[in-house]
Amino acid sequence: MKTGVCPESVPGATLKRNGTKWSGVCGCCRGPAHYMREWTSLTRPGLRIGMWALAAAVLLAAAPAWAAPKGGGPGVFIDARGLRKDSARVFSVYRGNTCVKVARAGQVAAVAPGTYDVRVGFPSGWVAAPVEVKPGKPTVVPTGLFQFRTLTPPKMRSTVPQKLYHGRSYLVTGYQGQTARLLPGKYTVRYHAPTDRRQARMLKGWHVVGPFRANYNTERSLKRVCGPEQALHDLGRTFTDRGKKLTWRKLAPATQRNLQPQVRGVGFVYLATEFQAEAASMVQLVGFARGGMKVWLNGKLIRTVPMGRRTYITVRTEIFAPLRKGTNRLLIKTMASQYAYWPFGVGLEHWRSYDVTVRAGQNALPPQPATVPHAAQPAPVGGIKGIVFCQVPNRSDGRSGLHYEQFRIVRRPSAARICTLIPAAPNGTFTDLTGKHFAAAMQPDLSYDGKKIIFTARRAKDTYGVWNIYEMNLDGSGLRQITRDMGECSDPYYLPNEKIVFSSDVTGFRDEYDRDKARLLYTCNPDGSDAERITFNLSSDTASIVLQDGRILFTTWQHHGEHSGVDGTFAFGTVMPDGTQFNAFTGNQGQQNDTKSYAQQLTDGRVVYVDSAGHRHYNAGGLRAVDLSNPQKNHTVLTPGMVYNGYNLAGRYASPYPLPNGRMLCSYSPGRGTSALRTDPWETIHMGVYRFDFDAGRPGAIVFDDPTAQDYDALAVFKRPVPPIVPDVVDRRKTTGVMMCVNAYISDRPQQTKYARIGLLPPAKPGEIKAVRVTEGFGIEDTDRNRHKATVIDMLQMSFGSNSNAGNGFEQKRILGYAPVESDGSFSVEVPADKVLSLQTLDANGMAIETQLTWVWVRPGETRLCIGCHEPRDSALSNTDCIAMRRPATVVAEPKVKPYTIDFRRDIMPIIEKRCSGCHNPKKTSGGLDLRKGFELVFHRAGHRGRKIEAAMFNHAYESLLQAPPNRVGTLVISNAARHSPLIWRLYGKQLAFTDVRNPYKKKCNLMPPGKPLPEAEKRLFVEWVDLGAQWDNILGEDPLPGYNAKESKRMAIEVNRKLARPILNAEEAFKARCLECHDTRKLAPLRTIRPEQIAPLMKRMMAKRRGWIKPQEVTLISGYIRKNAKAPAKRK
Amino acid sequence: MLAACVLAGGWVLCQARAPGKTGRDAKTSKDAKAQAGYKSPTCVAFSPDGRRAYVTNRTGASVSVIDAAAGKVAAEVRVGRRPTGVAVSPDGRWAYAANTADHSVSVIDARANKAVGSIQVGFEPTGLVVSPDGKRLYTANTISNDVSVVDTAARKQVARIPVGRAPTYLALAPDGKTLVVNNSLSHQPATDPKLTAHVSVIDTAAGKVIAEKRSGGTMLLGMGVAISADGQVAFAVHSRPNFNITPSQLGQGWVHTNALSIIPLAAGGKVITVLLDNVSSGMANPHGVALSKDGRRLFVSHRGVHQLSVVNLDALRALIKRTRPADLARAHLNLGYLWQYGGVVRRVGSGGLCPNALAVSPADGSVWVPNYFSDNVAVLDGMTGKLRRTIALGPPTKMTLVRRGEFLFHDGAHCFQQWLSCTSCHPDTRADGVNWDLLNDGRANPKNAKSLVGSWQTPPAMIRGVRASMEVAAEKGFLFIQFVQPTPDELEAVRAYLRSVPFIPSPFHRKADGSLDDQARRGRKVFARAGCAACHPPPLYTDMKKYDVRTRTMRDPKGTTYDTPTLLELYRTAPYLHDGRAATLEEVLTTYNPLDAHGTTSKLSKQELADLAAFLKAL
Repeated sequence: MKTGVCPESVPGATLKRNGTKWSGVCGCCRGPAHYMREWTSLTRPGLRIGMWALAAAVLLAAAPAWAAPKGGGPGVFIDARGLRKDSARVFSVYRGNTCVKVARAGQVAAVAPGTYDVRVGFPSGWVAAPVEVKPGKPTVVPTGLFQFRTLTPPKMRSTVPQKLYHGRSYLVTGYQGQTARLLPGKYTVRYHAPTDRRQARMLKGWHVVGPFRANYNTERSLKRVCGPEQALHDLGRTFTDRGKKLTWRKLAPATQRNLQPQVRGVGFVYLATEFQAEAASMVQLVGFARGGMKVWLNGKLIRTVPMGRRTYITVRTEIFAPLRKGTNRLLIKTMASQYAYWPFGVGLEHWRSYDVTVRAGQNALPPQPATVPHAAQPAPVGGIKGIVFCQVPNRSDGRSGLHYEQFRIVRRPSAARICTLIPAAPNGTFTDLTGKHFAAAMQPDLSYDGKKIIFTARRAKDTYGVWNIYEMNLDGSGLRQITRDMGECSDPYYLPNEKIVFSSDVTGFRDEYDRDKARLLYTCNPDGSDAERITFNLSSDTASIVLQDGRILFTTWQHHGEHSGVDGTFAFGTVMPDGTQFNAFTGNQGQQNDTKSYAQQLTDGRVVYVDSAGHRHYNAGGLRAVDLSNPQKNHTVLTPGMVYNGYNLAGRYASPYPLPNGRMLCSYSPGRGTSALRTDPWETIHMGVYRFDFDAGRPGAIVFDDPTAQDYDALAVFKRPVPPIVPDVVDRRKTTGVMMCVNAYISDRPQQTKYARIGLLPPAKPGEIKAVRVTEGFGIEDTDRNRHKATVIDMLQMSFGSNSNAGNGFEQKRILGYAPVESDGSFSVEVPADKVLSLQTLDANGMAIETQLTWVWVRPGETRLCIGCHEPRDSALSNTDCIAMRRPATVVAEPKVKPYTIDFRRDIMPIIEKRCSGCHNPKKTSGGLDLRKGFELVFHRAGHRGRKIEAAMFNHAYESLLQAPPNRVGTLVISNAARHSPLIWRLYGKQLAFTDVRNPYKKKCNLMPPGKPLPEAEKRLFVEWVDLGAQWDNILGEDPLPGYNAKESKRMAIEVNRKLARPILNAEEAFKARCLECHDTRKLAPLRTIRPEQIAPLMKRMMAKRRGWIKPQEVTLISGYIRKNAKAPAKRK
Repeated sequence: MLAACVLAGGWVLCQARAPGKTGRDAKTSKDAKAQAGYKSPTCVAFSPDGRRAYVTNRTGASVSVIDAAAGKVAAEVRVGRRPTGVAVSPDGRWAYAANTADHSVSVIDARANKAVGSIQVGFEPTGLVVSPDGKRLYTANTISNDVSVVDTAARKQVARIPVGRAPTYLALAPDGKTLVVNNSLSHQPATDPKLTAHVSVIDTAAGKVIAEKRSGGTMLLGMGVAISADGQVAFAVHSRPNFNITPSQLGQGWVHTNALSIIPLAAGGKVITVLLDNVSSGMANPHGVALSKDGRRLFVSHRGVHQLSVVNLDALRALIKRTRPADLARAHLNLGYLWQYGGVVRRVGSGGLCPNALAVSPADGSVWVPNYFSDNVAVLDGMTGKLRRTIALGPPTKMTLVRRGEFLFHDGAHCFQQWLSCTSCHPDTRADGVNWDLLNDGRANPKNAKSLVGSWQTPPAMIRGVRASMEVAAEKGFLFIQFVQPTPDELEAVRAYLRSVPFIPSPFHRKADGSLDDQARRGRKVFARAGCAACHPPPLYTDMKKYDVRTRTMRDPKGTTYDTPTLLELYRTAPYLHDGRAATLEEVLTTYNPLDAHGTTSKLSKQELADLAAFLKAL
């Protein structure tokens, strides 16, 4: 029996502990009060109340003295009444700079008498208070409470974040009603109300000097002090850097967001600007750049952002800094990189603030809320009959139930409903149209006369049912189903010819990136018949609308090769309703991986869309408008404010929709965050329907906002003009189409060669292109729903199925054939229709100069013409007389030409075994290469989502060629680019084309094997293999090849995926996922007739047999499900 | 020829001189009556004080005199048939109207508002200008390919200056020394990939062409032209077609782009061509050009899209100044060039259908736009381009089926992204003289555009006869060239219109009474002797069968045969043969018939060949 002291500040109250159990009566609360329970729970293993509690429990076990001071000796006690989740949880006791104890609120720390600092930890910082511990008497650390209350109008209350600072250091973000337990002292709360007109402004007028040469992005370079650092802001000075004279020069406004075109080169640069402040104030500087950064404000170094390892990531930093009245000077040192996109920008946010004094044992509140008139007063919308919108009720904890991803229908909100508000005024009639019919309904589109809606929905009873397209009159009558047996359908839109365009995953293949089912565009009749696929992509095409000229505009996820990195790119494409004339509409403007979605055309002709920072963050972000006069170039940001690195400071906008006379509706949630999907940890989404104020660049009057739900996807009911019907020109009797190019040399890509790398290679030089290779890509169809659940990252690490680990070329491809390119750069080639195609221009060696990074297709009988390879999209055709136009197209379609593929194991490995293994083997690893014979797989332990997995996918030779060994920079094989691959150079005995500056093979390029060059045919195999993406497995379907144990590999894939899978916390779903794999409908009988007492041993057996497959959390659920559904076996007679 | 569209309405009126026996007269003359109520305003000119405007009514065969202040028609003066160009003498005493169908210029007494005489000029005068001193009058003669110089005092043609093919409109420098003529077609054979029309610059004192201005890109269907107040620069509009390439799509200017050429008149100056289209929509059939009163804005009417382009010349000059020379040379390929910064060009409605040749009022700077199919003149604000008012030229009339068909034939706004209208390749239902490689009969086998006149009588349609009849071809044209689904009644209207267009009798080798001259008479005999009539029997001069007269090229599949075209209107449908390889009729008979596969012409004497060509030209 040991005694402890009640953490409450009542001296003398004692608790008893027996082993791990505490008992006794607390002096303050007269019973085993909350603290006791907490203490008790802490000491019981297996039950976790959070990570910190567990840590504390471990500490308790390890150091008994700390839990139970001997003889009621000296201790530090920490008051923790009313502590809330988001508030301070961990208190550290410091002596000087040494932490002597870590305790959770309410715990007791025994320390020797003396003076200590108690630090209160917050997610982003800590506050310290001195505590004097005297012998013989427990000391209580005094704390006080502070409750956040916003100073903004009620509508916005729960969503305005307030940042708590102690001096200059940021502690925590709080929201309306939250409480923070704080040490006594003065604090500052900073916030910006969403009603502030300009939340952030980008600083302009930069001068730049550099680049100063530096070692490649090292920390040391950041530390190196150069001239500008010594002569702060003296723009007249010139500097010499290793013999090069450098002067300050003005940065053109156009390049302010991308330094690369202006600076060109590797090294670091200094950037300086001046700006005016009306008064001395604290502002938040928000800067972003790549790599490290140093920031001086008015001559004082205010921030150093370390370089870090991942220099390709855009780093964002926030600094609260004091501005002085008048001119302020900012100097920034940032590291250059070799990437073509070198982002840079600094914004200034004026935040409001108020001071809070926290006293021990007291509640502190912010000053009385000031009444700020909110611009967004509810107001009726004229010119329309009403609105149709989608509503998702908030979850029980008040958080948003919106979980809205474009391509992943399974994650769509389960309780979405389509509602109307007629008229669109505060006193309009609200009607729930779909609640009684469907479990969920969303994505409405209105017919052009405004009388009917079409939407995607899931039937009420059928929990696992697919999403189908339905139609309904606006008054809720006339409900009818349109699609049947078409997989999961989404994004319906009315075509002017009374057909319907929608997205569906019925093809069943998995997209290139994360192996969800790819969704493509289809059209069908109003009754759902004659469904026809109109887009041919290996990733998804969705969210189509019909433009006023009759084209379909849609979001296309383009992923081929290294298109904007592994994430792919989200651009808008247009296609005719018959699937012909697929063209890019607008590409990646702004950030590299911005996701563009939910386009709508305003009545004045402009196309507006949601631009979300980062990739795969759909339908929430800033709004942009594209002027149709030149959609690739003329776009405007409608919602000013910075969007960078996943944050949109201007709030999140969604689902714009035209109103008559060029006006617009939109959905909006204040605050900031990446998307509807990813939020700041403390942020709550609260979408409402607003009118958009084009002049102010922010939401105008509220149209509708239910405080308990998310309201979005609002459509205005009015008569829209019906776009013209574009005739169907597909000749369905044909099986081929023609692709022609006027001049393959026409390109708008820069001729820059010095810092090129794969994906940014320069366009072809005149006379260089000799032929084109037509390749066809295949999506992987796999009936095993687990097999390809892993994302590309998993694929790169484990590479199940069909890809290399090279970081690009995810899909299986085959060569359809070759066609000559004429001396004037023109070519014409007849290719199979309705196939997913990509072209490569080839040099005299038959190696790819450029690889088309967009999947394209031709419909049957279609003739597609392009001006060049990556020609400027605003260029008209020139009236050139091309050689290829004078002759029939080269046919690269069966039966004339037989397609074939190159597979590493079947085609390359035998050559390696014959020619290379003799010198490159485990005994003689010449050049660090291990090209040993055979298909012994290399096992790796790869990290994945914080877990370690052991996996082996490739043999030694393949890994040796495709992975950079520790002593080398760069790989020998660069996928999709044989002419840039050192391996191919070796086979040809010379460097064939330029590649990365850092390539160590630049100077030395011996012929391999020495003295015995490969026969041409074998060289060609290597070239084609690399140009096709250097695939390990490039054979579609069942794979009988040696070395690749399909069965074992698949088993391992399933195994690993199961291990990775999160527990399923729905009993039925868990049962289906875990049991029905083997117990299919026919073999269900044993489970149905199981006796209750058999269940536990069975589960135990299964747990042992299928390690990591069935999650512990699922066991109870599955057991319960079986128990509930089992029928007692009939008694034997 | 000219955005020819222009003329189409008028053709129906010239029944009297059509070579008979083609069996269409009853029908078309009935329709001519139906058309009689229409005015079809075409060109407008102002009295020097700007108080009166003179509008030529093509189908109305009159000139409407409008009181500009009141905005009302003060008088309607009967003139010749199909009046087009109109001009007023500097003293305001006389007004002149070019009667296209009568090959003459009507002289109107501006005081009495009465036609007081007519002056014979070249064939089919279209544009017309008066010199600053009022002594000379110039007409651009579309069929005789020249400019007539008329002495206004003597009311007599004093000279004819040959220019490019099918000149349309012309403009005179303020000092009267330089005359700029916009030509719509080319003399080159269609097999020449470099085929292009040009703008002719005439020194009026010397009475000859001193320069042929060509752009970096192809020019065709040149229409309006204007000269800046300082006389340094001419602005000419034309289309920039892409006939060398199979036009697989309409978007992004892959078939026709519609251009404005800025032509420095000083020797050696480089022509800058910019596109009035943008990436997502075309501006089909640019027609009239006028400069604002202060010379800082340029107005271009686009017949096909019922809109005007308003070009801010200051902004355009600044834009050109900051463009690198290499980019400037390619500006005619850049659909985004004028749109990269705001404020260079904007589009305003024309206040009616098919705006024609426009003019700026010297009084208040307003822009007067004759709208052909609306029978009105729209008055737009010279600064804002906003519609101020429309002046009806006659009582409102309902469009007949034929008139509606004619309108649809000239309407580019219904076409996908309004890139072109039927007239963009069939100006005035005839042909633009170039080879198009359309996809209806396979690709890489370009064919010369065919005149549509009489196509309803001479099935099959298209030069390779891939369409059974004009009716089918018309529908397919909408579907696969304009990428638009026509409604059945639209289609019927266009078919009715095409049936209504008569052959225009040739003015060449004809006596005053319309009968053949001696040379043509001799040629008629040669025609019979050389076996021409076997396949080209009168009255339509075709047996409607298909042959290969040994003109098949490597591009065509073996066994390809070509429809036998009618020989009527040969005088205006050059170049000849299925791929337009023969620029003249003589070449058809000699160079391109070495094996006598196309009539036994090798044994004919030079004189006989000339006679035969004369007869053909007279058809």
